Amino acid sequence: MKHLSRKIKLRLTALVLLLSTTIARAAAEVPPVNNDTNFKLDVNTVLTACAFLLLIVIFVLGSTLRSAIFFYHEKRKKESAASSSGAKLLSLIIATLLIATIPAMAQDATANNLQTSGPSTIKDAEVLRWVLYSVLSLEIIVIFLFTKMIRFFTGITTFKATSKKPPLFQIDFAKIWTRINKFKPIEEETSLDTGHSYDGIRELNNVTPPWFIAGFVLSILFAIIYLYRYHVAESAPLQIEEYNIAVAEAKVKQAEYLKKQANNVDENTVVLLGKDGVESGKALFATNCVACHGDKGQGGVGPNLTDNYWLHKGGIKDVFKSIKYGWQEKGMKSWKDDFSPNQIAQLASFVESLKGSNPPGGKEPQGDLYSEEAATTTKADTTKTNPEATK
Amino acid sequence: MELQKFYYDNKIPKLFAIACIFWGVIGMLVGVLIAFQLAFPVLNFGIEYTTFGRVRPIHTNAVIFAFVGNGIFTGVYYSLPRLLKTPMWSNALSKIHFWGWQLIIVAAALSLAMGYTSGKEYAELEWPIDIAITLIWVAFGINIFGTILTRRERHLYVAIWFFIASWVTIAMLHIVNSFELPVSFMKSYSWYAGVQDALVQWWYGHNAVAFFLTTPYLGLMYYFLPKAAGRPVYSYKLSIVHFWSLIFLYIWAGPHHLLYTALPDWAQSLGTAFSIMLLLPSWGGMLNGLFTLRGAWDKVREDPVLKFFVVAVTCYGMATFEGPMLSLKNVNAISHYSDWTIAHVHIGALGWNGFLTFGMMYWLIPKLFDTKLYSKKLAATHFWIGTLGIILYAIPMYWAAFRSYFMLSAFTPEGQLQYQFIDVVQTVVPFYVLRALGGTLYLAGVLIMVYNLIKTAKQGSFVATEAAEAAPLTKQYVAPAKAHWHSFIERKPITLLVLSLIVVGIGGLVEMVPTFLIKSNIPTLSSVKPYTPLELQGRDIYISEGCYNCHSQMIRPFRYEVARYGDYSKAGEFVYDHPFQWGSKRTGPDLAREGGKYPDSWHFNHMIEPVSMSPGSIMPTYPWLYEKQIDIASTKSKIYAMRKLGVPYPKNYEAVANDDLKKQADGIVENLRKDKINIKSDKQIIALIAYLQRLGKDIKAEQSSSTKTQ
Repeated sequence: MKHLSRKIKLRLTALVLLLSTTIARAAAEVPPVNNDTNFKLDVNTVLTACAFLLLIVIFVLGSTLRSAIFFYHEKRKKESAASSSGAKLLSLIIATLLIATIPAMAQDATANNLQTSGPSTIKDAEVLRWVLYSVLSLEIIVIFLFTKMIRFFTGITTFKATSKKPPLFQIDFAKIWTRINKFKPIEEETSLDTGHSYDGIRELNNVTPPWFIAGFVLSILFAIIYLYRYHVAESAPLQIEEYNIAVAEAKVKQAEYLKKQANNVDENTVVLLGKDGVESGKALFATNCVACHGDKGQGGVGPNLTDNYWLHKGGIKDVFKSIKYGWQEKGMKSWKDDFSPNQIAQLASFVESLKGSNPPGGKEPQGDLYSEEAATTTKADTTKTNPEATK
Repeated sequence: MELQKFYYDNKIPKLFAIACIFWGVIGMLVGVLIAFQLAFPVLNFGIEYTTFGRVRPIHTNAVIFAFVGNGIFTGVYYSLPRLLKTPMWSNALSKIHFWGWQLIIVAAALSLAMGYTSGKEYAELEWPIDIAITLIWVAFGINIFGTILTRRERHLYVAIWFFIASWVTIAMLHIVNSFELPVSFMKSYSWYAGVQDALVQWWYGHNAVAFFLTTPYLGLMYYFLPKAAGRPVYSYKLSIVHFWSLIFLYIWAGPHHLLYTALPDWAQSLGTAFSIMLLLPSWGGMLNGLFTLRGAWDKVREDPVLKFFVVAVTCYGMATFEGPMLSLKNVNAISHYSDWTIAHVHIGALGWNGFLTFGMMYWLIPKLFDTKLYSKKLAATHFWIGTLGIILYAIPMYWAAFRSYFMLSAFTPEGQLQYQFIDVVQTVVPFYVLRALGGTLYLAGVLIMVYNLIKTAKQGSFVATEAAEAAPLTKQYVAPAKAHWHSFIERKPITLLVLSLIVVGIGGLVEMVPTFLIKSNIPTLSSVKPYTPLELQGRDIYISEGCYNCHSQMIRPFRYEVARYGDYSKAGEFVYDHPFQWGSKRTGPDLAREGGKYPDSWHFNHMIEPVSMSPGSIMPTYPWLYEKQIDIASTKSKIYAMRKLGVPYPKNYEAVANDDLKKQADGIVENLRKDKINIKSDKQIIALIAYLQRLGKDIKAEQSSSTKTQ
C-alpha cells in the first residue's frame, strides 16, 4: 500500500515536470512565419509532440487506474460484509465508464493529431495551433482526473463516509450559480415585488448580481490602467512605435537568414542563371507578369520583352533592377516585397531567354536598341535615373 | 377618481408589422444576392443597378432602417400606449410617420441603386432624404412625447426610458453626421474631411448600431419578454444601472472602428477603454432578460416566442462580449477590414434583431387578430432553420477572417510577402459560398414565418381598437417615503429626455472637439494638394459606384501592410477628402497608394474585365463607365462647394476648371492610345483612372524629394 502510493507520487512529479517543460517550450517558441525547406522546430510540431507524449502518459495512467480499480475492488470485497452494495455498484459503474472513455479519448486525440500532421499550409498553421492547444488542455484535464481517481482508488484519499455521491467529479453548478447571482428562491418573490405594474408587467427588486458589479468595477480599472499606460506613463508603445519595433526585428531576422543563404544576390552581383533557373522564372512569369507583358512576353499594357529595344536597358543586371525597384511612373511596380532576390534573378534570366523569340502579335519596339557591348561602356549613368535604387 | 374610457389603436402597429416583415424579406433577399455575388461575380450582371458596390448599401440600409426600423415602430406603437394607459397622442402623426418612413425607404432604395450616395456607411442617403428623415423623426418624437405627457400612468417603465434615449440620440447622431453641403439636387459633400469625417462617421456608425439596433430593441425586450413569459422583470435596480451606464459609455466607443488608422492615438485609446467598460452594462440587459425567465424555463421548451427571445438575448450577449474584445488593439489588428467584422454584426443582426423581431411577431400577430398562432410546429421549424442559418453564416466568416489574416501577414524568411492579395481572395471564396448558403437558410426560415403569420391572420379577425379604462393622473402627487430615488426621474419625462441627451452628448464632445480644434492632431503635409477637377469628378464616380464597400484607403502601420501597399497612411493626407473613403472592409486590396502602381491602360482593361489584368479576381465589371459621360456641367459647382468647405482652390478657379479637366483627360487618352486603346476623353472611365492614378501620389512626391535632398 505504502509502496504503491510512493510510486504514484513519483509518477505525479514526473508528470508535472513533463507538463511544465512542454508548456515552457511551447511558450518560448515564436509563432511560425515560414515553411522553408530547412527543418525548423515550429510550434505545431512541438505541440503535436507534446500531445503524443501526454497521450502516452494517459495510457500509462489509464492502466494504472485499471489496476488501482482492481485493487480497490478486491479490497472492498474483503470489507463487503460491512459496506452497502449500492455504493459498490456506483463505484463500479463509474470505474467502467471511465475505463471505457480511455480508448475513446485516445482516439480523439489521434484523430486530431492526424489532422495536424497532414499537408498543413502556413495559412492554417495558426488555426491548427489553437486546435492543438485545445487538444492539449483536454489531455491535461484527463490526466488530472485520472490522477485524482488513482488517488481515490488506491486509498490515498478517501471520500467522506457520509457523502452519498462522490463530490470529486460532481460540482453542484446549480448551487454555485445561485450563489454567485445571489438568487432568492422563487417562492420568496412576493417580498421582492416593487409594486410596479405596467400593463401587467411587474418588477422585482432583486439585487444586481455581485459578479456583475465586480466585473464592471474591474473593467473600469482596466480602462484607467490602459489609458494610464499608453498616455501618462507611456510605457506601452503607440502604433507607430510598435511598427518601428516590428520592422527592426524583422530586419535583424532577415539579415541573419540571408547571411546563411545563397540567394543574397542584388543588381550588382546577379548573373544569368542556367536552365533550371529559367524554368522557375517561367513559372513565376506565367502567374505574375503575363497580365501586362503578354503570355509570351510579346507585350500588352507593358512593353514587348522579346525584341532588342529596351526602355531601361536590357542586360541581366538592368532587368533585375527593373523588376526589383520597378518604374513607378511608367506603371511597372516594384516587386521586391513580392519576390526574393533569387526569384527576381530567375525572372530576369527567363526574360533574357525571351530575346529574339519573336512571338506573334508582338508590340512595337519601345526605347533604345540595346546591346551588351555598348552597355558596358555607358554603365555609369544607369543608376542615376532611378531614385529608389540609390537609396 | 373617475375612470376614463379610451381605445388603443391596433391599425398602426399592424401596418408597421407588415412593413417590417415585407422589408425584412426584401433586405435579406438582397443580402443573399450580394453574398452570392462575392463568390460568383457574374451575378453582378454587368448592370450598374445590380452591381455589388451599389447593392450592398441597399442591403444594409434595408435591414437596419426598413426591417429593424419598422420593427421598432411596431413595438413602440403597440407598447407605448399600453404602458402609459392612453392612446397615441395623434393618429395623424402616426400615419404621417408610417407613410413617410415607407416613402423614405423606397426613395433610399431607388437613389442608392442609381448611384446617389454620400459615401458614408449606413448614412449613404443624399441630403433631400436626410432632411425627410429628420422631419419624420421629429414627427415621431412629437407623437411619443404627446403621448407621454397625456399619460395616465405616473411613472415611466424601463422600456420607455430606452425609447426616449434612443429617440434623442438618433436625432443627434443623424443631424451631426449628415452635415453636408449640397452641390446639386442629389449630390452633396460631407462638411467634414479626412480624419475628422472618419471620427464623426464612426461616432455615428457605432452609435447607430447602439441606439437604433440595440437600445430600442432592449426596450422591446423589456415589454415583450415579460409579457410572453408571464414573469416579472428580474431586477429594477439592474435596469437602472445598466440603462444609464449603457447610454453613457456607448457613445464613446466609436473610435474602436478606427484602430491603427491615422486617427490620433489618444482618441483610439479612448475608444478601446470605453468599449471594455461597455461589456457589463451591455450584459446587464441580457441578464435582466434571461433572469426574468427564471421559473419559466419549462415554458421556453414549448413556446416558440420564448425560444426566439432566449436565442435573441443570448446572441446579444455574445455580440456584446465580442465587441469589446474586437476593440482590443491586437484583436482588432486581425479583425479590422476582415470578414470577422461581418460575422460579428450578423450575430447581432440575425440573432439579436432578427430573432427578437420574429419572437415579437409570433406573439403580436395572434394578439392583433384575436386568435392563436396557426402552427407552433412551423414556428419551431423556423426557429431551428434560423439558428442553423446563423451558425452556417458566422463560422465560415470567422474561419475566412483568420485564414486571410495569416496569409496576408505571412513573410518568407527572405523578407518578402508570401502571398499576393489575389491568393487570399481565392482561398476565401469557398467560405463566401457557405456564408451565402447560411443566409439563404435564414431567409427560408423567414419565409416560413410569413406563411405562418398570414395563415394566423386569416384564421382570426383583426381587432382594430381595444377598449381600456384608467383614472387620469392627479395634479398633486406625494411620493411614498420608501420610494427609490430613481422614481423621481421616471415621473419627469422631460428631465429624463434632457438628462439622456447630456449623458450621450459628453462622449462625442470630448472626442470631437479636440480633433477639430487642436492642429497637432492632424499634422499638415505641404505636398498634399487639392484634387484636380478631373480627379474630383473621378472621385465622385468612385463614391457613387460604392468602391469603398470593398476597397479601403487606409494603410495601417503594420509591416505586412506597408510591404504590400506602401508607406502607412498619415492624417495629413486626407485633409481634402470630403467625404473620407477609408472603408471598413477589404474584399479587394487597399487603394491608398494605388496611384502610379499600374499604367493607365491596366486600369482601363481592369475596370472592363478585371480578370484580364488580375486573374482570379472577384471584382465586378464596369462597362457603363465606358459609355457614360463625365458630368462636366457640375464641375463648377463642385469646385465652388469644395472651396466653401475650405479646400484651397484659387479664386474663380471654377471658371477655368473644365479647361484643366479636358487637358488632363486628353493626356490620359493619349497615354492609352500608346497602348493601342482608343477612347474619347469625355467618358467616365477617364475621370476614374485620373483619380486612381492620383491616390497616394502627393506624399510619394514629398518622400522622393526629401530623399534627394538628403
